[in-house]
Amino acid sequence: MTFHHRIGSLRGLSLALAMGAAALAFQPATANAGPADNSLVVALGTDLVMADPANGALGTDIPVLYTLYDRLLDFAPEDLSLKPMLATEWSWSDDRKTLTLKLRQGVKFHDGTDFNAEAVKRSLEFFQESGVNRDINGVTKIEVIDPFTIALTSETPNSSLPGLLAERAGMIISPAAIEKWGKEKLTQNPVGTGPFKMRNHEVGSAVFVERFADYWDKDKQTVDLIEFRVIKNPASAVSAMMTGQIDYLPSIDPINMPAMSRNPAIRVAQEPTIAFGVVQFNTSFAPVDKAEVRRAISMSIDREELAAAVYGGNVETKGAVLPVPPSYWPSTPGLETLAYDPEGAKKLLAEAGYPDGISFKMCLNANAGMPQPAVKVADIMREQMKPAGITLETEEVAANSACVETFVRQKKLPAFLVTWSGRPDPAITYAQMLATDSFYNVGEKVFGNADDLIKQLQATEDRDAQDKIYDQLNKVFVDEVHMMPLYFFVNVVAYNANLTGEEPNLLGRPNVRTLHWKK
Amino acid sequence: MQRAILNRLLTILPTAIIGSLIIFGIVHLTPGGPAVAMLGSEVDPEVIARVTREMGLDRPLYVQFWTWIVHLAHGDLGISLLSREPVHVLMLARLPVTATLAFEALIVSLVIGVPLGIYAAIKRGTPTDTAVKTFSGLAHAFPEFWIGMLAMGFFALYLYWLPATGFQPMSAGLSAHLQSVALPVGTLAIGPTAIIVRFTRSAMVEALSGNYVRTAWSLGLAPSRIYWRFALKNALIPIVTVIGLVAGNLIGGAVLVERVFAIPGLGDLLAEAVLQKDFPVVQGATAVLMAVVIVINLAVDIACAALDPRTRIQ
Repeated sequence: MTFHHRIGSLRGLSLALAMGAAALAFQPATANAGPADNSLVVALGTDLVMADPANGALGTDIPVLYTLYDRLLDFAPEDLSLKPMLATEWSWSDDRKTLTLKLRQGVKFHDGTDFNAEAVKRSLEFFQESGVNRDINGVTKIEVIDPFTIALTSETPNSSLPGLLAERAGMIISPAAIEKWGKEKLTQNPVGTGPFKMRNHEVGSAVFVERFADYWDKDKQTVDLIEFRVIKNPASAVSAMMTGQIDYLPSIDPINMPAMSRNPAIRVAQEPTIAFGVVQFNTSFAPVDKAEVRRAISMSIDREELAAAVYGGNVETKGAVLPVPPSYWPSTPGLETLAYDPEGAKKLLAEAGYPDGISFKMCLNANAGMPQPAVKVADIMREQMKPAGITLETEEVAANSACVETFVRQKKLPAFLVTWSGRPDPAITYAQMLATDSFYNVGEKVFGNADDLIKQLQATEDRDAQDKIYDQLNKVFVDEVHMMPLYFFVNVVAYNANLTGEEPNLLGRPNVRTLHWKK
Repeated sequence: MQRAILNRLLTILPTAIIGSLIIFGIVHLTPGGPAVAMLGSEVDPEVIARVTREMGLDRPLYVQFWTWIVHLAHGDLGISLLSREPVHVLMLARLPVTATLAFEALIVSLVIGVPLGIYAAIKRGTPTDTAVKTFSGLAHAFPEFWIGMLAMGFFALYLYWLPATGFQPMSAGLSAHLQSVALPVGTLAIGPTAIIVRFTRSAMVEALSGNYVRTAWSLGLAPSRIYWRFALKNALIPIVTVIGLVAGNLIGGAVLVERVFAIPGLGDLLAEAVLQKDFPVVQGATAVLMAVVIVINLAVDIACAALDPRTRIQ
């Protein structure tokens, strides 16, 4: 055979291969099983790290934990008011130090163990023993009154306690599982009372949870299987959603909204939250040790323009000087806040002793995507601050953890751009931001009588009384600006158009327990 | 020959250890730690410090590294600080995925690269040659991440021909497997193809300029015989050598490609471990990957020796 014949036959072979490949390609990509087998695929941006709620603290684990564990209390998604869950009712003693909870009967853990007051006691003690979450460390005595009544006593009144029982602390773990697996192995063998139980966890790839047949509230059970699929690259997750590989994508970059909205198989929703982007300041670090300087920085930022540039306007900038949005009850209407005013900022800096302007360094996570793409935000802020004579330098690191190290622990930087996730009880947010001994108060500043106000807040459940205290705390916030909120996040999420039942909550935490396929 | 092979195999362990030491040092130099990756940044720093101590990460670095070496000598790669799974279990689960991708990408790049390189050499100096050289230069220059996203956008999002993410093993059926790997393998193969084209072309051009080829032309032998029997046979050795070069390229590319296409492979495991400072996984995965690259290069050397008749005479 001549060379040319060989080339010819090679050409023929290549053509045949190409046609074969095209034939394979033209078969539709495998349709994602959804209504057909009553299963759901949810995208997770970060793999599940700790399936044990007591020994973990990552917000990204919450969507999975919500399916595996019921909590003692639940919160209404629209306003975070508390509702019964594993506890059917609760009441305070007269001195407001003891909280007594009546527990639901007929509940079983995934391993068949009975749910009762002893189980709650063991679970709460396990939570305290972990030392990771300090939420309920103030509870000094946990007493079983009868098989379905339990009393929690604290040294000082703490009206935040019920709210904390709607969080990780209230995720009740099976005492048999605690006994069998201990702290080391419990994360690989989680056992709760939730509507789903763990089927398996392919580390780094997917978490599978399946319907728990003996769940106490069968009416509320939805799908048979949920796959939490780990897709770390946000653009890839969007592609997977657009091609029907996943059914629910919590939190997408609003830039994808137009394309997704055009796809009839997808339903895009905007879900407001009380979480916000914030610049934290170290109040002991010049030049941001002066309140006037911090106020000037706040005045030099055009939040509307920032929101438009980064989010296409899909964040809430109104009232973004307080740690709660204006629609949320602890907010104080009509409080005089700092408008965008670069000239005013310049004057304020001069009054503070910086007529030539200032420069300060801000730590940020260069890898941060949604909800806050930190590099983009910082770039825009840098330009906005220039007319006010403020030079913004940034220290870009690979993960939030590095900023926590340098800003919070070593206190080597004056500012940190970060997100603040909401808490079910706003008192927790205010305490963590304003209390002198809070480790978020990096400069360890005493904010007037904030410590007293926080104690008063924790001593009462009377909404009106709390409102008045919040008014005072909000004033401190606006005067001091030691934490500079930028905007409140609005979660832009995507659902398969055939999915229904979602209950978006103000905390912005994906809760897939209620999602189900339309009939 | 056998002695050379043995010598090469003996270099695996010290090379892997030295490489691990370098990676260990680099990863520890960056701030942050696995405790924060595990617990988040909204936790009390005292808790972070305590968990760090529990992980044994407050010990001097040389102590940590020596402990790891000692365990490695016993075949123990340690436990992932984050998932608590043994490192070797994590790696064994993911190695077949990356191996499949890398192997298929290598086949694709050879199937495309070698003929293209030969053709360019034969058509040396013509517009065809220029086109091939330009194409391979561009393919080598473009970042894989970007090409992968473009390919996903076009073939998955626009044409709906192929899945955007995920990996289906062979056991899921040939058609499902090929559909799922078409984009990642195609993306991964681009860089190596470019390298192979250029190496093949250079090797063929050099072979074709040899005296023996000129003699063959002057003797009036058929062109096909000259290209296949004389030139290509001699060009094969550098071509096979480039496979060893490309192996490292494939592993590095796998990290990015697995990330873009959400494929649970070794590259993705390593990338995530580096970001989360999961040191045992970083060291274990790096050591194993280095050993793999050495073994591949050894295989390449053996193949070259086998191809080269001059070694047989000895």
